[in-house]
Amino acid sequence: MSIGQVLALLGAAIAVIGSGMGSSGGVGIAGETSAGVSTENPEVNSKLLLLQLLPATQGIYGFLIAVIVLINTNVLGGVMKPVELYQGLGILMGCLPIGLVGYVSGIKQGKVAAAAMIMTGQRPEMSGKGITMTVMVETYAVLSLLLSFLIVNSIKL
Amino acid sequence: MAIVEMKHVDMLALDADKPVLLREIQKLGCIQLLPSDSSDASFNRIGGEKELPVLEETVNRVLWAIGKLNRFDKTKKALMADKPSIDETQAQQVLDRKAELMAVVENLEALERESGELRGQTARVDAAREQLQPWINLPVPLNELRATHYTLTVLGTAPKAVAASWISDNTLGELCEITQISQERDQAYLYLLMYRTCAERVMQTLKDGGFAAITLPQLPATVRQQLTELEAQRAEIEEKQKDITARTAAQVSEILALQQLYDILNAKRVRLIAAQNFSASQHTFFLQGWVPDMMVDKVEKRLRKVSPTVALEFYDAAQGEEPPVLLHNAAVVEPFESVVAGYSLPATGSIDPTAIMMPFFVNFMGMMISDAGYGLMMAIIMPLLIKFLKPAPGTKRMLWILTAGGVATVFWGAMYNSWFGFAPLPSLFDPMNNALPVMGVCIGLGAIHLFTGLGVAAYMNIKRGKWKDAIADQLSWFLLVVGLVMMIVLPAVGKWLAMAGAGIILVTAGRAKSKNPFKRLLSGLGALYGATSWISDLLSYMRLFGMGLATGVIGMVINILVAMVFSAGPIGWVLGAVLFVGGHLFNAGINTLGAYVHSCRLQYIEFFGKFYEDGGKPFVPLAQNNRFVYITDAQAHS
Repeated sequence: MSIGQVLALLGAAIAVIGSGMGSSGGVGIAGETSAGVSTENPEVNSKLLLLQLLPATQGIYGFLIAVIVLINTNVLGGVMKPVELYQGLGILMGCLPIGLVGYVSGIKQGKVAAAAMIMTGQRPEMSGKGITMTVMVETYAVLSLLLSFLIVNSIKL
Repeated sequence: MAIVEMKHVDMLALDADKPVLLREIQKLGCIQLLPSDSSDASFNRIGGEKELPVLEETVNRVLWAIGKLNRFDKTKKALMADKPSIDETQAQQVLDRKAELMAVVENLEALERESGELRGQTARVDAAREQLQPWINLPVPLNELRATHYTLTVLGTAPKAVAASWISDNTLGELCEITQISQERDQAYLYLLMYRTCAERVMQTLKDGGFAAITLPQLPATVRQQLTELEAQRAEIEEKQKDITARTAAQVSEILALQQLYDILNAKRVRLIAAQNFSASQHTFFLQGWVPDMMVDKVEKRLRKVSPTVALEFYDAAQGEEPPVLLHNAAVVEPFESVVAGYSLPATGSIDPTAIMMPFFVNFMGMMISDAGYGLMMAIIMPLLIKFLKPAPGTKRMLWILTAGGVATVFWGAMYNSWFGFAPLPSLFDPMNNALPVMGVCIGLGAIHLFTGLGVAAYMNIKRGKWKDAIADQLSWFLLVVGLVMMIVLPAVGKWLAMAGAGIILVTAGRAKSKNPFKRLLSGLGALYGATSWISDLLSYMRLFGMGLATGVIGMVINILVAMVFSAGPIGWVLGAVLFVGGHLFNAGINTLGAYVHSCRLQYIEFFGKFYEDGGKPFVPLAQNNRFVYITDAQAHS
């Protein structure tokens, strides 16, 4: 296995690890709050479930980039294509945006979701605004997903 | 297709007719009552309702009983099902049984009191057990631990290490015997027998070592016997509690009747609370409220029928008054009102954006779900759910939004050529391998969306006669943004358009702030900086691409995994089928959620940001807001 191939795989791993840690952190924070708010006000539980799921998307984005790396390098096909050093580095760079932004935005979004849950518990009619606030954070995860995708897809092996 | 026009209604009627009129108004459910205010001095009787406090207590008791019985209610509730209905004769039958049902409630309350008492007993028994537990090995009955003429007995605790040293090196002297009964964490439980002559000295040593004396109840039994006795008591209490639970559960058959009774009584409670706002004279009362324009005739007809002497007057809202806001749209668009309400209702006198928003909302959802297979599933299954489950109104609206989104998804999924993650046809539009055209379409649709918002703002300005504002605030931005984009393909025209737009903004943006031309130009420059927000708004539509891509790639991955499992023979076929169905259901679910939420965001932030005036107060009529059961109105269809 060449160093280029290892770098490409490292990139895929970072994409999944960073965004997965971010999402599990975010969903965890939101879930704890959801449980707390639901004991006080069980009627809003379904609205809270939606909020809890919002920070889950970063993990999916990271996974998506990793899979694209695996498809492009033909790991999924069984035999990995040769990857030169600089190509490998390029793929690694491409994986960084979603890996890092996914980590931070997942947790931050979880915190906003938790705050929005408390608001929804007190004033259920505000749930739409709470969702909007939470989705604001997601924008940057989507942008980093796009950049990751464009970089990774631009490296032709 | 708009915000419903509201009329004031004033009503003067005989006090004797108040109950029937209020019931009729509640059944109609289309009058929002206001605190009425009559300048006539004879209307000064305070409209206190004597029945109200008693009724409120009854309603609360019934609700409590329902909550109590709910746990034992084993009847299966259909998924998503709406509340059942009863008609007025059935409602009357329930009301006739009120005394009987209140006896059930009373019975439940008695059981609850009994249960509370037993809980108190349990707590006492547990406390006693905890106190006695460490002394379980004390061999003598407790009442024999008395002082004698020459000796004293003392029970107590001391730190373990200290107690051990007392015992081992005989610190307390020959005239005192010390025994450790048990130990728990760092405390030793000690039994001391000493001569009175040395008591003072021994007690001082003990105190210095951190000894704390304990007094146990002096009963003629050993600790072990007492604990056995307490154990028996506790078992007996538990037995009684079980009996109470069983007796409570036996009442569960009445839960349906109690729920009906609750809704009937609560409707009355709501009427009485509303009635407190009326001003009243000796024999009449005066009511004011809002009624939708289109309901005026019906209200008049129905109220006259129950009370021929009622005097009604309908008139328009005064200038500057803000009537409550009710949206009314065609049946296809109506469910999307909930999306608008999720943000905030439009202000009185502005515009209902539901119908304009709907096509964008649906198409954005389609682009983000982006798999024709998922779209087909939604477009077929959701209407069937509406038809067969007969869900509650809120759920029904949501299902309808998903149906419409599903239809749009079929279109966009076919464009992207994604059918359950497969790509069976030659692709028109390939986000994976040729991303730029797809991104272009996303941004382009975003521009149309934003310009539509700008157009609505211009329309509102022109309708209000402020055409100058329409040019300064909307046309200018339209020219600037279109001009900047055109500079890429047609620089000669684009340049002038952009400069015209920028010029208008530069000159006009500060017009409201200052008369000083220099300061105005300065605010104009500041406003031009707002062009950056257009860039971020447009970029925001890239989420259409990102979310669509995510669905497609995950679908593809599921299929790759299924293909791997499938090659493993017959077991692989079964596993593969499960993985295929489960995987695609998960992908469809999580992406539909994301698509809905992000579609909302594009409306709330990007679209509404261009024109929306929010802050309308919702129209809240006096109606039957029933919790458990609908009471159908026999006359509703007449």
